Formats: sequence, C-alpha cells, structure tokens
Amino acid sequence: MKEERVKEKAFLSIFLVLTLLAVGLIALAEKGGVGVPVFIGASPFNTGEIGTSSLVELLREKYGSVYVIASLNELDGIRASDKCLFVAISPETPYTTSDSNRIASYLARCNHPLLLIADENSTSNNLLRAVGAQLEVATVVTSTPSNGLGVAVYAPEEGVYLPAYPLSVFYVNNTRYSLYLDIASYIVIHGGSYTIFGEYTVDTKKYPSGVIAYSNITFGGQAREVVAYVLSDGSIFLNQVIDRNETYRSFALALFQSVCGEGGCTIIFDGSRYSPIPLSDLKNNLNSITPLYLSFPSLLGMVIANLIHPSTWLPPLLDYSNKVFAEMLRDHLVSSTLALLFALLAFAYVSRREVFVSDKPMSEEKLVEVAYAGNILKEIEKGKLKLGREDFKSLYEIVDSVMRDVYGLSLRDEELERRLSLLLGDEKARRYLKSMNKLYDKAVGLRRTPIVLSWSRVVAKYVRDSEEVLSKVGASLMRFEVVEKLARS
Amino acid sequence: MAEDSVVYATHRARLAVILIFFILLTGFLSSRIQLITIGLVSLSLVLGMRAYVSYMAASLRDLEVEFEHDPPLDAGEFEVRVVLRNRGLIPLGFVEYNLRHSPFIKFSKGATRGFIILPARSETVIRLICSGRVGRHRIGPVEIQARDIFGLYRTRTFKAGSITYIKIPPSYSVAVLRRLMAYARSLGLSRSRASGTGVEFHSMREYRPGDELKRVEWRKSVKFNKLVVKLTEREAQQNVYILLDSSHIMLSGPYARTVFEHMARAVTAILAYLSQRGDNFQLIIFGGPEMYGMPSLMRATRGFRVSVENISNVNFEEIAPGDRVESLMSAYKFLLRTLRRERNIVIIITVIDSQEYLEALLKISKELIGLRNIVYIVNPIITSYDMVGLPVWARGLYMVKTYGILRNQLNYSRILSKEGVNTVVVSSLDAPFKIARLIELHRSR
Repeated sequence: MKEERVKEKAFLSIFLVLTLLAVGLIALAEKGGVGVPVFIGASPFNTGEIGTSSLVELLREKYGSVYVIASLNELDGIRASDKCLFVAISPETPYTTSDSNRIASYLARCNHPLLLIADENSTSNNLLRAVGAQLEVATVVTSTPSNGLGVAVYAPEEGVYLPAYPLSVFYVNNTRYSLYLDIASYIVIHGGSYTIFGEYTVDTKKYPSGVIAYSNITFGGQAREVVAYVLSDGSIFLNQVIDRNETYRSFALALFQSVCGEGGCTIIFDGSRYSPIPLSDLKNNLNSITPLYLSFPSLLGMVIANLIHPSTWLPPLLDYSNKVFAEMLRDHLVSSTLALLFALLAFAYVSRREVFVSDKPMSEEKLVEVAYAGNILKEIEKGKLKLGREDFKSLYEIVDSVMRDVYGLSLRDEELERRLSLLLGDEKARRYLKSMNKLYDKAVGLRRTPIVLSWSRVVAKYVRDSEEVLSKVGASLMRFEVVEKLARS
Repeated sequence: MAEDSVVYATHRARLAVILIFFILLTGFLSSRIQLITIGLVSLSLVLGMRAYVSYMAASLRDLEVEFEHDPPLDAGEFEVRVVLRNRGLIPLGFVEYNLRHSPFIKFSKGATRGFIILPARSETVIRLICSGRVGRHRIGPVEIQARDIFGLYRTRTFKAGSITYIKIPPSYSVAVLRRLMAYARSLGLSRSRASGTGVEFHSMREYRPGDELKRVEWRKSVKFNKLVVKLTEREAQQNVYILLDSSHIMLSGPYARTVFEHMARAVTAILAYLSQRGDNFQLIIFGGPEMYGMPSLMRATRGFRVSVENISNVNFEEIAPGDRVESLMSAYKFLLRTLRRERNIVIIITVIDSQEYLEALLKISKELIGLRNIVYIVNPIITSYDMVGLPVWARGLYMVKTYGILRNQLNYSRILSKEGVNTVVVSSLDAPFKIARLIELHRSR
C-alpha cells in the first residue's frame, strides 16, 4: 500500500516536471533564440582581439558601475550619478543628431557629464557637436598600395599622407606615454576651451591625437559643463593591447582615472554602434569571423547554445511531425494502424493495474476411486489392453479350475469332451478343447504350432469362446462368483 | 498483485477495452462524432460493469454460508443443504458456486457447481442428494465468484462457509443380523448352564418385580395360581478382538462397495450380533495415519456405539499409500496392551498383498497363538471388488489379466494355513456369516 502511494507520488512528480518542462520549452521557443550575436569591431561585447571587452572588465574591477549598452534606449534604465562618462570607441555606425541629443540629454542628468571618444573616423563628430565641443576627428582615407604592402593613410583636408602607425605621445596625470596608434586620424580643433594631451609628429608638423574640450550645454533647462576627451584612434583600447601590453593598460587606467577620478563615476560603454552578426546568420558569415572578433571557445559556446535552444529545434520539429502526421492520416490504412497502435498504448496504460485472468469455470471435485489393478482398468477403458501368452495361461487355468469344480475333469480329459458335446455339440466341443490345449502347450513352450501372430487377439477370442462354454455349464468369467469359487477350490 | 485484487478483468474485457479505444481514436482521428459517442458509451458501460463487480466482490466477502444435512445413511441417500444468505441491498447475479468436498463422496442429485442469482436480503438453499458411504467426509467450503452480465469482469474466488464433516456409520442389514442369530442358535453350542440372557430353557421361578412380562409362563402360572417366569440359560461369553485394516489397498472397489466398506459393514453386523449375545469385543482400525481403537474390551450397546463411532471416523482423504507393515505392527502393539489373559478370539481383516506383509502377519499370528489365543486372518478377495465396477463385457478380460494377482493372494492364504494360522478367504457376500461361524465355533469349546 505504502509502495503504491510512493509510486503515485512519483508519477505525479514526473507528470508535473514534464508539464513544466514542456511549458518552459514552449516559452523559450516563443521568446526566440539566443540573443547574443557575434560582435565585430571595437565593441565592448567583442571578446576577440579587436574588441574592447578587456577594457570594460578592467574598469569594472576598479569602478564597479560600468555599463555596456546594446541600445541607446537602455540609457533610461541607468541611474544618473555625480559623474557620468559616456565612452565610444571606434564606433562603426555614425551617431545621428537624434542619437547625439539622446546621449546629451542623459549626460545632462548628471552633475559632471563626461565624454570619451576614441575614434579614427568621423563617425562620432555629431556627438561632439551635440555636447558643444568644438572638435572633430579629421576624415582620413585608407588605401592599399598596388604592391600590397602596408596601408596608405591620406588626409584630404591637409592633402598629405600620414603614417599608418604613428608614435603618439600622451601626457596623463603628468606621466608621458608613448603609444603607437593604428591607422590613426588626428583631431581638428575649431576653437573653444581645450587642452591637448596627446600628439604625434609627421615631418615636423604636429597632429593632435588627444584633446580635452570643455563646453557648456543646456538641456531640459539645466546648464552643465561637459568635458569631452577625444582621441584620434580607438586601437589603443583594444583587447590585443590591453591584454598584452602593460603600457597601454597603464595608459588606459590613468586616462580613466584622470577622467573619473577615484570613484563615484558611472561609466557607460556604447555597444550600439556596431553591426553584430546574428547567430542565425552565422553559417553565412562563418568565413568572415576571425579570432579578431571572437575567441574559438566563445564561438563554440554560442553555436551550441544556439543549437540546443528550443527556438532552434522545437518549431521545426513540431512542424515536421505535424506534416508527417497529417501526411500519414491521409492514408486510411495508416490512420487505422495508428489508431490501433494508440489504442493498444492507451489500453496498456489504463490497464497497467488491472489483473487479467483467463475466465475458466471452477474445477469440479473429481470422485476418487481406488483400484488395485488401476492400470489394467484404465487400459480396458481406453481399449488399449494388451494380452499375451501369460494371459492365455491364466484363461486356461481358470476354465480348467471351473471344469474341475463342475465336472471333476480337467480340460485334457477325453470324458470332458463328451460331457461338453452334450451342451455345445460334438464338433464345437471337440474344436474348443483341442484349440485350448494346443494353445496352452504353445504358451508354456511344449510345442511350436499353431503359429500365433497376435496373442492379444487370440486371448480376446478365447475369452469370448470360453465365456460361451462356461455359460453352458452354469459359470461365467463375467461374474465374480467364479473368483470366489476359485478361491474356495 | 493478483492475490490482492478482488476484481479481475477477463480476456473478454481486454478485447472490449482495446476495441473501445480503437473506436475512440478512430473517431478522434477522423473527426467522427458518432464513433466517439459509441466509444464513450461503451467505455462507460465497461466501467459500470467493473463497478458492479467490485460491489459484488464486497458482498460475496460478506456472504454467509452454512451447511446442513439430514441424518446421513451408509449406502443410502440423504440431503445436504448449502444455505447462502445475502444480507446486502443489491441482488447478486451470475454468481458461480462450487462446493468443495471430499473426493471420496459423491452427490447423486443436485449440482455441486453452477450459477445462481442471490436476491437482495435473501436466503438461498442449494439442495444436494449425497450418496452415503462409511466414514468421515468433508463438506465445504463453497468457492464463490461473480461476473457481470457480459463476463467482462469477475471477482476473486472467495471461500465461504467453514468445513463440515459428515460422519456416516456403517449400515448392516437387520435380516443379516437375524440370520446370524438364527445361525448361531442352530449350532446349539452356545450354552453356559447358567441362567441369563439366552434362548435355551434353564429353570422356572416365581415372578419378581422387574421381570419382563414376556418371560411369564402363563400355563404354569394358572396351574400354580401364581405368576411364574421362565429363565433361559445365559449364553457363553467370549472376548473377541477385531483388527480391521483401513489402508489404501482396502479402498479398492467401486463407490460405496470398496473392500473396506464391505468389511466395515460385515464387522458392524458381527459387532451388533456380539453385543446382543453379551460378548466382549474390541475393534481396532489401523492402516490410516490415525489408528481408531476402542480403549478396551467393551460390551453391549455402549460397545457397539463406540465401535460404530470409530468406523465412522475413518477419513478416506487422509489415507495414502504407505508402510502397511508398520501400521500393522502398531495395531498389534495396541492390541497387546489391552489383550486379556484368556482364550480370546482375534480376527484380523486385511488384504495380503506382499511377502513382507505376509511375514509380518505370520509373526503376529504366531505370537498371539502362543499366548493361547485363537487367531483368524480374514482375507478379502481384492480383485473381485475391482470387477464390480467394470462393464460386464470387460470382466472376462479383467479376470484373465488379474488372475495372477488373485493366484498370489490365494497363495498367501495357503501359506498362512500351512503355517498353522487359520485363514478365511471371504467375499462381500459371505463375510458376516463366515466370521460369525468362526466365533461360534470357538465359543462352544
């Protein structure tokens, strides 16, 4: 009983778990697949060589409140603090005026709005304008020479070729940092209040590569002073240098320390300016994915996550099974077979506790009768009684005993033939006695003839003949009084 | 699992449920409401039947069963009644019953197995006519199970009613007894020369209160002008010990006409005769797992009653083929404990079927003879009993086939006789007279 209850509970638990699992799978499938795509470029989500995820992690260790947004809408959910730093590193999608205003309005909520732009393109110039900084990153054109070696960087406004990897010197917190830039641009200063903290030299001409601009903005009726740090290259913050080069790491930390101070700063990395490759489209873009964008374990993890997600396999599975089922049901034979199969399954389930028995009538009590020679009785009943030479001897002795009892004569006495002939007739009496004596002699081995093919038939015949003879003399083999007579004799 | 369940599904239910599920699923798959309806109705019907059978199972468990019977008769018929009381509020239909009983007893009329309907709050009586035979026979319990109308479900087989034993004493013909008495008197060898119960004239005396009126001699009373009674000579008293074999071999023969039953009836007639003659007697029944013996020599009606009680205690069901010699020796030891140091008559009624048994019998007989007893071995012809049950046409063949057995049995008797042990070969026809003759022959000596 207890065991059955446990089984019942186990069944309920399994049923509930399976139901929840099904609900969860459907919910996951409805919600959609794995949302993490492969980020390319200097995205803070990119864990590859040219991503900036290491910088984010580095700053998180120090400041804590470091956010990475995938959409500008997420700005609304980030609490404004005393200092708010918005960071854009080599953004690939240009900031529109609307985007810029949105960022500016968020920064205006903070007491000390800060902006850090590290961009070798003019993508973020709109944002600089929106915060009133009179700076812009100069537009440069890169091309690959016909010999295929290196990269040519051309500044159209200056009309000069710049070095692809210039050595720039930065001064942060009174520390000098010499850093190689990567296909860098330079910063064009249009006026306003600013401080140059980094520059590189090309043919004695200095090109600013790091400028701090101070400007005032009024947003929502609130006036704020915005400090914008602009660097003409984002490559100095990439994972490949942050992870491996102490100088670059120290520079980055020093720079952020000079911007944010020791704490109380909310840092927001903009991850919305890069075009990610969706996982669903991963197959088509597999060739373009390099370690620059993604580490192999991350890629493998993403692929597995995508594959095991119910949104990947559940809808197609259901759709496929539905189609197969619908196809099958069109065939009458298949649908009948299915119905029978399900009927058997349903029956097996429903009847698992049912005890099936073969419905036979109850066995009647059989009367027991004991027979001393039970085997002989059974053989007689079945008609399979075998008679032999010994049985003929028995028959002969019985008849002989009866004749001795009745006439005082044995079967061999000639007088008996005369007596019996009165009852049976001469011929019959003579033939009976002669045959009996001959067969008896054969049975006891005194003679070889007559030839007997079957003793069984011979004995049966002479039992009948003897019965006829004995009945004439007032005895019978079929009455057990004869047995008594024999017993008395 | 199967033992715990009270309701079993039959093979018909299995087929029906599969068919119903098939109809239902076909209905669902083909969106045919008619099929679904048929399936649901059928399923409800099946479940309803199961519920009904479950109820019946509970009712059958509480069913009261009693066994009643008329005074039992040996070699006659008497009524056995199985009373079933349904105290429930719902009638129980299609109840199959099966009366369990000893396989050694049979019912000539009425069905021991069948179907009945037990109305609500009712008493149903199943009447059976039992063909009586000597011994103690088991009746009950009744096996009961019920089914629904379609036979889809059935209950577990319940055993109802406690086992009842019917004790049937051996019968003997009054005519046989009269003939025995007449036979003994005709011998005229039972005179004791002392007044008492008897038939021979002893003397006459004046009537005393308490004398039987039939003893008054009216002619002499008129002559002497006072009541005079005739006294008869008390017949000689004899101690008779009878050892009756009830081993498996003694059960040979057709129903109610086995060797044991014939001998039991013969012994009963002899004991009735002895009790009327005022002899002392003791009956010891051996051969079965239990030995039934009178504790000592007894006489008159009480002795007769005890001996008949002992015979009617023999349970055929308990008798199995076993060591006959050991059983015989046990009976002999029991006999020695109660044997009086007088000239007793010891009659051993048994079938001799082996050399080993013959030797044991010879040893016992010689020891008893050595103690100055008169010993008789009564040897029933066993094959003659088997023959009774055979069709007439087969008897000749059987006799021929078993002539060797008969010869052996007769040979054993001859060996006993040669060894100085009185042996009597008897059949069912002459057994009482032969035994009575033995007793009377020695009473007069």
